[in-house]
Amino acid sequence: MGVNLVPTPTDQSTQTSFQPVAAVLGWIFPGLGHITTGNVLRGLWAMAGVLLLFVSGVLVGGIDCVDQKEDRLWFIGQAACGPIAFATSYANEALLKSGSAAPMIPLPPSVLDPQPKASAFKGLAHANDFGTFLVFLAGLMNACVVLDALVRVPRSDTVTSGRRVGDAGLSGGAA
Amino acid sequence: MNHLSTASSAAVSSLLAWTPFLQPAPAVDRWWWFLLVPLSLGVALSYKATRVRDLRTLPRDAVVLAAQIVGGMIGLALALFLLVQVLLPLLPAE
Repeated sequence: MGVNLVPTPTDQSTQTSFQPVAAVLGWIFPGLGHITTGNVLRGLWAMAGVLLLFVSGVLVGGIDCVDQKEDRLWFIGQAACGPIAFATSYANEALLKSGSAAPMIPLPPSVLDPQPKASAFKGLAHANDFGTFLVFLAGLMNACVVLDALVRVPRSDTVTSGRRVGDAGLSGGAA
Repeated sequence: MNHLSTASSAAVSSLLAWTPFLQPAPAVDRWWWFLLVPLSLGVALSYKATRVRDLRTLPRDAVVLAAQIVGGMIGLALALFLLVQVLLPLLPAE
């Protein structure tokens, strides 16, 4: 089909690498795993992509879109962004839910909470949906970046380097 | 004309009153579909950063992939529109 599936002796995909420290650093901050193993440019591009999603999400939905207590299932994916997701959730608790950033509005009572209140800055409808989803996607993409940092050969960011046959596209094979 | 200027001044005032990152962005309900652009660009950038062999082609590849995602979404929307608005009404009502 035009894709070279047979590794050649000079192909870098035959090299194996296992970088657990790079994976941990990649979770601590997106792209840091690649940068610390010498793949600086690749790490910067990965960082740009993940942070674009994360910042877009928080910009659209506000910090309320990262909530490890009320949106626990979404937060499982968002947590793959690393400490920035936990910091945003903490900021949500400290600024919005405490009422220090905006007044609290009383809500209709429910069975679980007889006197519920919500921040006036709480996200609703499309803003909250898209904010939550964008940050969730940032987490999923950072999980992919972390897995890549785990197995990528250090200092392999040369012009024609790669770790899989066919990474360059349909032309495939060694460049 | 007067209605338009009133709407635009309301949009400007809501934007000026907005506190970024603390408050949700104003009027997202009206322009939410524009968010497909940063979404597809972010996904394309981070995906291509792990996949491309030659980093010189990464920006172009990411833009192409983002355009493909947006195009695919538009194509899906058109296909669903045709299915729901044109094809399904042609079925016998029974």
